[in-house]
Amino acid sequence: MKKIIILIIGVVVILSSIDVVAQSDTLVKICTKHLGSPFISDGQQYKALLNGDEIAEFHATFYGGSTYRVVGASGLNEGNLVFSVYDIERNLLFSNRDYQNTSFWDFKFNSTIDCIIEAELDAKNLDSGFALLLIGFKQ
Amino acid sequence: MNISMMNSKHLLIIFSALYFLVFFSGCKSTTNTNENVEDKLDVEIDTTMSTVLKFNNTLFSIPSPYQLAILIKDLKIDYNKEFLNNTGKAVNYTDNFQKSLNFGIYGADLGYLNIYEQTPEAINYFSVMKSMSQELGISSAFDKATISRIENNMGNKDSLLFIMSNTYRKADSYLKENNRNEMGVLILAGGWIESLHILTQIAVNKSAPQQVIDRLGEQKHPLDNLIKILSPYYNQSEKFAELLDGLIDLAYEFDGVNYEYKYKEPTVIPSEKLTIINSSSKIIISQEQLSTIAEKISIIRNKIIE
Repeated sequence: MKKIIILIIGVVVILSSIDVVAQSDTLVKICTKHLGSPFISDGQQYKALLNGDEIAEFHATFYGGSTYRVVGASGLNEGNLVFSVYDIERNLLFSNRDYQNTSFWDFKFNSTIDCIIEAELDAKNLDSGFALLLIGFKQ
Repeated sequence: MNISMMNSKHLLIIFSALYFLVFFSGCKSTTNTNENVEDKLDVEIDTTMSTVLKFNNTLFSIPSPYQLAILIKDLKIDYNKEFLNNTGKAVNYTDNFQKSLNFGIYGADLGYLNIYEQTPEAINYFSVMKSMSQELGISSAFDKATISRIENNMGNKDSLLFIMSNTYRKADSYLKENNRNEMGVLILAGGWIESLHILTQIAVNKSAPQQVIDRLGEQKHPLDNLIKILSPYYNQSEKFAELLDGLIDLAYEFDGVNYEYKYKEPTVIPSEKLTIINSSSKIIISQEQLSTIAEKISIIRNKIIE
């Protein structure tokens, strides 16, 4: 009986892992679709597990004279993630909530600015899940 | 007979369980998928109030070393091979700590070489990085197809930057997914230290363009972010502690750099999915601060590349 329980647990764990990996792969595909040329990735992948109304914070420095693209997604479809960009004084610079939770937005910086990007799930679409954010810059 | 019946019962239970698992994983909605993820990871949900996650979900970004190299080239600053770490030293890097940091350093050097279109040298650096990626166990990011794409695009600066950046992103993700995050943060640190080293070598020159000096001063927050990324590994080894101590010491110097910020309402162009950030910032850094920063970064780098 013990062996059978172990077997069931094993199968559940394997299926769970496959599910998490599959969700992760889908997220990467959604995000990288919007980070093609001429945008160059900053070489990092920002991922956070969010539940309910939790908010993940991403701290980034954007150089003046450059244009950046921020791409964000959660779940298996686009439009599930709300991301908002604030300056260090917490002035809201942008929120994709105003644009149907669009998966990407470009930002042209005239000066170098330190920003905080907040990411949260749209409660109407998702209860919990991984949030993935990618940042790219244009030469 | 009884045993056989018991086994049949057990098998029935197992197959029923598997059936329901497969059925529900096939039919689930997006929300259900994530509920399952949540259950598996056994995470508590705080439904009482909005929560900003202060620890694991606070992520810190380090600007790409390639951006600094692009700025230097755009300012028409001459190529200087002396800025780079010699590939001949790669054999000296025996443990993963040294290899990871120097992998980041060589990556930043490769970006510099590529931007200055130094193809033969770039091939040499890439060859060393290819070998190091295998030693570090990140050959899934540097797979055969990627290596072939990189080699075929060695003379094409734009394509190479694009491919290399994506390869770094894949390596970063692979290391995070496989609980080898410390290796990923060391690669990041190496890249940032090397690009800062190149920047300081130019900035200490009396004829250095103001943009280079400003960009150097602007590294205050990326340095703070790097320290936050590395901090969880402080006690992992003496080498980690030494690296962090050096960076913290450097951060004290950056604290003296004056950063002025003025908010101005952004301009939004929805049709282009573009926001123009009109806020302005100004860096005030003295020649003395510049020299001290250059000296400190040189000490940190020399310990890594020796």
